[in-house]
Amino acid sequence: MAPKNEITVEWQEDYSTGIAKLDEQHKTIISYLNEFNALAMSDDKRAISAILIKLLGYTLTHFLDEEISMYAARYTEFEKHRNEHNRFFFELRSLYIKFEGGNNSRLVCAEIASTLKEWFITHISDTDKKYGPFLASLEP
Amino acid sequence: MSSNPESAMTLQMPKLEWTDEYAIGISTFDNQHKVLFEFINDLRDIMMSKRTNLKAVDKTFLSILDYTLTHFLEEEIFLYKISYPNFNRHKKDHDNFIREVKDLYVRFKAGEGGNRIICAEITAILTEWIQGHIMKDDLEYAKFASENGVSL
Ligand SMILES: [Fe+2]
Ligand SMILES: [Fe+2]
Ligand SMILES: [Fe+2]
Repeated sequence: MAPKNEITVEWQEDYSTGIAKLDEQHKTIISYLNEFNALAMSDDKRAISAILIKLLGYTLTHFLDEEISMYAARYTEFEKHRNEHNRFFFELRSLYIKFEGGNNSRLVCAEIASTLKEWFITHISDTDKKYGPFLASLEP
Repeated sequence: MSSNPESAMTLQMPKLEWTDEYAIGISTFDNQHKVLFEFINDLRDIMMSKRTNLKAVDKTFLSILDYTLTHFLEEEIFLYKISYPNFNRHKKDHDNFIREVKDLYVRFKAGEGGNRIICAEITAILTEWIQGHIMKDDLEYAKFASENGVSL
C-alpha cells in the first residue's frame, strides 16, 4: 500500500458500475495510480518504469475485458467506448516513451500523474458507469 | 472430402519463415522479430490442427499481444532517442496494429463467426502485417540509424 498524501485517489461507492469483476479491476487500477504517484517525484527511475509497465499491461487487459463484455452484449455505445480506450492507451504509450527516452523525467512524471488521475476518474465515473445497467441486466 | 471455406483459408497461409530479407541489422530487434514469427507460427499450427484448441489460441494470442507491446515500446524508445524523423508515423503504425489486434481478440472472445474462421483471419492478418512492417518500416529506421552512426 502506498502512503497517503494529497494526490491519493480513493475508491468511492459512487464509482461502482454494478459489475463486481470490473469494479475490482478499477480498484486495482486506482492502487497502481497511487503507487505511481508515491514514486513520481523520486529519483528511482527503475521503480517508476516498473510501475508504468505494470499499469500499461493491466490497463490493456482491463480494457479488453470491458470491450469483450460490451461487444458480446451488443452494447450500443461499444464503439465510442472502445475508441476512448484506444485514444487513452496510445497517449499513455507516448508518455511512457517520453519518460524512457527523454531527459526530463521529472516533468514527464508530473504530466503522467495528472493525465492518469484526470482520465481514469472521469472515465470510470462517467463512461464506465453507463455500461453498468446494460451489462447488469445480462448478468447470470 | 471437405471443401469448406475454412480449410481453403488455411491452405493459403504459408508458415512464416525467417530469411535474411527480414534482417534489419540491429540484433536485439531482429531477435524480437524472430520470436514474433514463432508465436505467429504457433498460432497457425494450433489453428490448423483438426480440432482447434480454443484455450491454446487464447493463450498464444495474449502472448503475441503482450510481446508485441513490449517490442513496440523498445523500438519506439530507441526511435525517440535518436530523433528519428518518422517517429510519429512509425508509432502510429504500431498503434493501428494494436487497435486491430485488440478488435480481433474481442471478436474471438465474444465467440463471433465460428472460431475457426476468426482464427484463420487472425493468423492471416498478423502474418501479412508483420512481413510488410519489418521489410518496409523497420528497415527504414534501421537505415536511418546506420547512416547516422547511431546504435542501440
Ligand atoms: Fe474501466
Ligand atoms: Fe472503460
Ligand atoms: Fe516497428
